[in-house]
Amino acid sequence: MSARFVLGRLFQALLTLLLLSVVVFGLARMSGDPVSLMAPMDASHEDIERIKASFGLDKPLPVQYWHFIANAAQGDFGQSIKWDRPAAEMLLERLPATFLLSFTSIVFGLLLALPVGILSAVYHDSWFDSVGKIVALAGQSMPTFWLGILLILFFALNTPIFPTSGYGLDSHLVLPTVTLGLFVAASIMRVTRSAMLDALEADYIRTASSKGLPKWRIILVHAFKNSAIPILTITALQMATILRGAVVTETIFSWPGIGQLAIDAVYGRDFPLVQGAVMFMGVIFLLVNFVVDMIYVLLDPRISYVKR
Amino acid sequence: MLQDFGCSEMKTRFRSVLKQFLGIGLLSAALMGGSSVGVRAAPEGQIVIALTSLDQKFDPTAMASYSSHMNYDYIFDGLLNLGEKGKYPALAESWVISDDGLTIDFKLRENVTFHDGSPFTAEDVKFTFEKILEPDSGNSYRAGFVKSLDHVEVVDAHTARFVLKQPWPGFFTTARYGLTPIVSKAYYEKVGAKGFQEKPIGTGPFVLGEVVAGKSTTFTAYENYWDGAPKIQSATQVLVKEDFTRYAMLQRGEADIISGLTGPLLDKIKTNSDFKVISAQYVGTSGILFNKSTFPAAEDKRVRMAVGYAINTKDIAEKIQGGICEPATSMFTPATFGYIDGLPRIPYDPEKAKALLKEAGVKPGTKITFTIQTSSFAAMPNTPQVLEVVAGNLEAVGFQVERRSVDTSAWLAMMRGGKPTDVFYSPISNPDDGGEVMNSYFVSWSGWTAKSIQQPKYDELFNEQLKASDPEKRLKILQDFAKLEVENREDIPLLWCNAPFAINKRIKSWTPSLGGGYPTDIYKLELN
Repeated sequence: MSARFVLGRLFQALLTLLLLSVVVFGLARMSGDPVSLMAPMDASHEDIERIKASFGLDKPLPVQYWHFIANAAQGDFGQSIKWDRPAAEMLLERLPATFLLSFTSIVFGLLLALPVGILSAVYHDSWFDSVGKIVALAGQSMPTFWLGILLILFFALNTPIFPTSGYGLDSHLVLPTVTLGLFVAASIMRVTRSAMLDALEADYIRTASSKGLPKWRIILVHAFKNSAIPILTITALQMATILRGAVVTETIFSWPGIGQLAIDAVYGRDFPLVQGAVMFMGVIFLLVNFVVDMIYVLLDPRISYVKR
Repeated sequence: MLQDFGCSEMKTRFRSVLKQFLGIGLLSAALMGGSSVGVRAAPEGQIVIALTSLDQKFDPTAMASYSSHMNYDYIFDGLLNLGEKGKYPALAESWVISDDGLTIDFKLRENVTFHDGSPFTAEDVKFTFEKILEPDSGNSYRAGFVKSLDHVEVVDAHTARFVLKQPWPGFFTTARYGLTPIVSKAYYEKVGAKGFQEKPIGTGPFVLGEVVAGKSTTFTAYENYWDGAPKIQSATQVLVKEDFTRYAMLQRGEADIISGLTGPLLDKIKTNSDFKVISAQYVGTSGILFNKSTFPAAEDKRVRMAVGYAINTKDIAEKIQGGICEPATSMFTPATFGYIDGLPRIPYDPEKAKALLKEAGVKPGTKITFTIQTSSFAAMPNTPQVLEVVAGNLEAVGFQVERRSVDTSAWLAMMRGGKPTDVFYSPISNPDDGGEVMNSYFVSWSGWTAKSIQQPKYDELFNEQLKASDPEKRLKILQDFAKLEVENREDIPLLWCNAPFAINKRIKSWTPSLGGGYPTDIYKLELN
């Protein structure tokens, strides 16, 4: 890993963020504006223009964009139009809730996916494998909004074990975590299974086996370590799924994270907040990707970002 | 792979490993949930209201959206307040209108205090209204004030005089004017606009408590409220977008009042004996309008009537709206100032519609564009479903309907841009004053009809009612308009709708105000 590689990556990331900022800025403005949404039907054109001006929405788009990007570089996304608070402050307030849910979901997903994936590979074509496949299929094809509602129905209403929604207690975390985690688990499970199947057929496994190493040591150390790269890749990709799924899951469970805030901001055309939320998520995703690239090197010494 | 390792011993091992995994899973689930299973029991005297939308703007002098009234109702009073029977004198006990209609003397209620203990006086009334008149005011309803109000004079501590540019009878019949929340002059000047938004002070039954941006707002009881202290200690509005979650919260007792009851949810609630549905009456009215510049056939009244006969409003009201709406006879509801009883409804008669279209020379298969609004607002619940049925009804009589789906913001942009579809829907939330209803859709200069309604008589009646300070006379003018509109049918009436709320058994009694649209009058709510 060279400094040149890191710098290159950083440059790429900045370019991506810049592109993202153009897209979110443009898309947000293509379908109406927040003042038209708030003002009464018979508000005069002048009144609307005056209120738009108070939010800086009267300036030409390139000027607005420049303000957005120049301030964003300093961590200022402007004042939320709907909530009358600094957008960055609101997003930072909500970041812990989203992080917490993402973390528990990915942990839950891995705890479920890795054992089932490994066992499905080891005992492939057995009844366990079939069950695993069904779980993976179900997890992947059930939309989170539907699964979330089912969980509320079964575990908050029919058998009232957990609260329906909200934030603050440990018990509030369970249903959203399962909703999001199951969705994530499905893909990881499938990739784990196929990566393990490939690894278990490799020559070095037969060698290890013929040397008389304990079976579970062969599976967990030799085979699993060598299937780690695809598993890590899919897990990292699932971080994007989690951020996306969080928008829906947080809305269902009124979990006060960035996703819930973002969806409300989109409906209200709260430009500063929409822009801030998307940029926040963009940065998080790029960071995750960057860290994963680094972990590749640690996992597999054959991978190197240094040009020889 | 089993064969490669080929041993039955593995199978047994596998089972035990599986058991371990399952065990860990169950254990962790138990650990996560077990520590604090169960929901916080609703504390004594506190209620939670789960809403589909939240508003956290608290400065009435800078009201951008009428939805802020969902907060004003708690914190402030107007010269008039809105109750279950309509508007009633609140901070103004009585008023005298001069013969020329150009001054109104308000006799103000004495012994009313703001939340900081300071007394309410005429200075506060003057300050509030004149702040709205200021050219840089952030109040998006300012235009209506500027048109009629010149300035306010303080006659004595408890008499405020409105000096008008023209008579302003609409002040007493229109929520956005009469209910204008009065702020404390001394306090506002001390803390400024920003400080006021953070900690607003009014004379209302509740004091603003904790505000979690974009999530919840809590109001706590103000013991010295002039109309009697609230019977509960606090009320918390929580934003819960998902319909089913709100339902589940009500079921579990995590919420006491929920809003936004859509079709299937309403059915579920109606069949549940633990809940009661309470409606704020006549929150919205709606109709179908025509863009005559893109759909010139609609110049012909027969075509407009055909659309009226084509739409099965009764079915829509019963099956989609679950009875919370009823077929309208006009854009005025029974709660609108200007309403007249006994106007005819257009019956559902698709055969007649087809015959009328044939007479008017509109061939089957004629293409029309039609807007489907993908989100509802107060004027009509389940808007997308209703409009989809309307589109189907229009197809059934021979139109080829091209649907344009837009969300509220895109819809408003389209309407404000003066480019509605050939046939479009005309909703009005809180249609409490006939003059305002006319102003929205029926005057020739309305920006909402693509200038499609050009009836000089309507403009004349509108201008006349604007200045008719005698309520009886004004009522007559508006009723004349309503009768005339039945003859012309420029707008095909669709539905009058109520806003339903569901409450659980903790609540002993509560009646929301007429046309309120939000859970209002919470200070009168009693718990069991």
